[in-house]
Amino acid sequence: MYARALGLLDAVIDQAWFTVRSLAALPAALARRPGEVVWQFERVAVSGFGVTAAAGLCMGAAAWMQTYRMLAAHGAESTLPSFLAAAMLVEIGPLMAGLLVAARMGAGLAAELGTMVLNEEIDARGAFGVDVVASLVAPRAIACLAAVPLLTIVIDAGAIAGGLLAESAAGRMSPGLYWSKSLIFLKMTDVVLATFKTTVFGFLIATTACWTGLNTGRSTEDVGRAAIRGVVWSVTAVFVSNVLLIPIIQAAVATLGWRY
Amino acid sequence: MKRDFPLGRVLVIVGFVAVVFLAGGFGLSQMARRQWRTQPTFQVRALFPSIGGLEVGHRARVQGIDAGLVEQVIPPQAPGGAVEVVLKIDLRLRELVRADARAKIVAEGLVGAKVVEIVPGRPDAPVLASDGQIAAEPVTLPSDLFSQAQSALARIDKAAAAAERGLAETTALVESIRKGEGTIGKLARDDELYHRLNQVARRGDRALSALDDNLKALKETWPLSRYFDRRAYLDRERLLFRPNAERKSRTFPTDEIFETDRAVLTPHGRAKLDEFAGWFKGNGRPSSELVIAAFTSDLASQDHDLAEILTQAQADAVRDYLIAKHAISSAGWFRSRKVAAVGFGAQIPRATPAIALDAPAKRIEIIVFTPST
Repeated sequence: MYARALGLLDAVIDQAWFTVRSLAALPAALARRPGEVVWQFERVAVSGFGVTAAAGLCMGAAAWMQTYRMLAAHGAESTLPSFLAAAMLVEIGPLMAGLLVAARMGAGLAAELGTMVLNEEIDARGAFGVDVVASLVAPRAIACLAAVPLLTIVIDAGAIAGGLLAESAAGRMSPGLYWSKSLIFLKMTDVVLATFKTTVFGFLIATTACWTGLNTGRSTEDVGRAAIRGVVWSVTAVFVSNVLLIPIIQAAVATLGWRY
Repeated sequence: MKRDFPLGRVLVIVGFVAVVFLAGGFGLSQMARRQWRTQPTFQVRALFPSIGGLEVGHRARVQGIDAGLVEQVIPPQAPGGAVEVVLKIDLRLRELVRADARAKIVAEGLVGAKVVEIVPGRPDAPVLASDGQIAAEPVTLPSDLFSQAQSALARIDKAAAAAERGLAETTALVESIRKGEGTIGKLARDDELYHRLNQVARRGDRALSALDDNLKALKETWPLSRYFDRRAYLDRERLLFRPNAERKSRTFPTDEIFETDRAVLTPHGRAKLDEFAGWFKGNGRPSSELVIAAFTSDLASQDHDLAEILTQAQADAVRDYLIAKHAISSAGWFRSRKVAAVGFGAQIPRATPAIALDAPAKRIEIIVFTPST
């Protein structure tokens, strides 16, 4: 038990150090390996567009259907778009985008790097004096942290469109009214910061998954296990960092006195 | 590790990024529009004694039109000063906000959000200068309403106590007159007694008129008006006149169910009321309301006011019995029905149907009103 806790602590410290090294390597990677970054970005963002848009649409429609019934019981269904948009754009959209990317890339990156370890490709790079963090991890981290905010916008748009479709199908509001009511509670500060905080999600997903992949044992079974752990740990990283980011953002907004 | 990018793939990536940025930009610009960040606006100031929880970013309306935002809330310099609220209003509505416009803070529906409502001024007043100040109406909070009701109740209590004291003194005087050697003689002999009687009469008058005023005010105060409505303290004839309801009534001669000239039910009377309750269970609907009206004939021996007190007591006795024994005021789970008890004395209400006029003059009438809708 004691040894296990110590092992976990060791892993956490190692991962934290790995994260810091990746962060430091980001600018160099962007300058020296832009092609690699774009290729990874396509893998994260463009390929992830379909599932993200579908998730947004379905969530918007589902939330509409559940909430409409409750609000209509009290004759307050006209407030639905305002609540729905506020909930989606400020909290659920960014979080869901992070989770979707964590699910796709957590497994993908951990398995990819795990296989590289298995093929002794990582060792070969080390022998040639190529830094693994700079050449492999940093471009993937940049791709993820750029992709998640964009996918957040996709999921937000999808959620509003889903709610709007549900309203046109079963509600009584015109699309124009729905849209203008959606905007009532939204503050630009909230929405913009909620969207940009997902860069942190993206970065943590990439580094967590890469670290998991690079610390795999040398067997096919270990690669499978690394894929699972990659998803688990990157999803956890998204949730935990979300909780930590919210008070930080709120404190920053209060300090800077942003009101809109 | 070099990779080459086919043009098609690059275009897809660039297109994806462009579309997402366009969508985000569109959303942001719409949000900015909704908060009057991009349209031309002008500023209006208003000084409120209290702003009732209004915050920066709450909406402002001109004549109900969504027209702007609360831009700034400036606390007063010293205690007792007014809170200054700076509003940002759409420039297109400039013409509507005249120098005599008024601002008030109202709560908005379910959410409880506060909204500043600007009531435009008269058309002949000049247009308000930019950054000009308009008059503010104080906020009415529900707690204010309750404290008003409370102070009204306290006043009533005081008036009632005064009236009671007056009544007690009168009784004592009357008693002493009755015991004494004749009213006229005593009054003639005793100056002080005459004075006191006069004083009592005057004080009683004052107290009663104050009580009446207070009651009238109270009846119209919102949380209490329901209570009075329910207890049917309002116009008693109105109770019997309900054009939109079906009227069914049972009549009992007073002598049959009460001891003579008293408000105490006889065993026979109780049996009669039990029988009525049985009938009502079959004929009443959940929406039915009951009015118990007690009448008496204009007896020479009876004073008008005393007759009214007696009949009121009798009607109350019937109501209490029916409620206690037969739970007649309940109309199913969590629903109560109105059961009003009124003593009419010797008065014949105008709304009496022709058939009821044939009934004995001394009677208890239980009327079931069922709304026809």
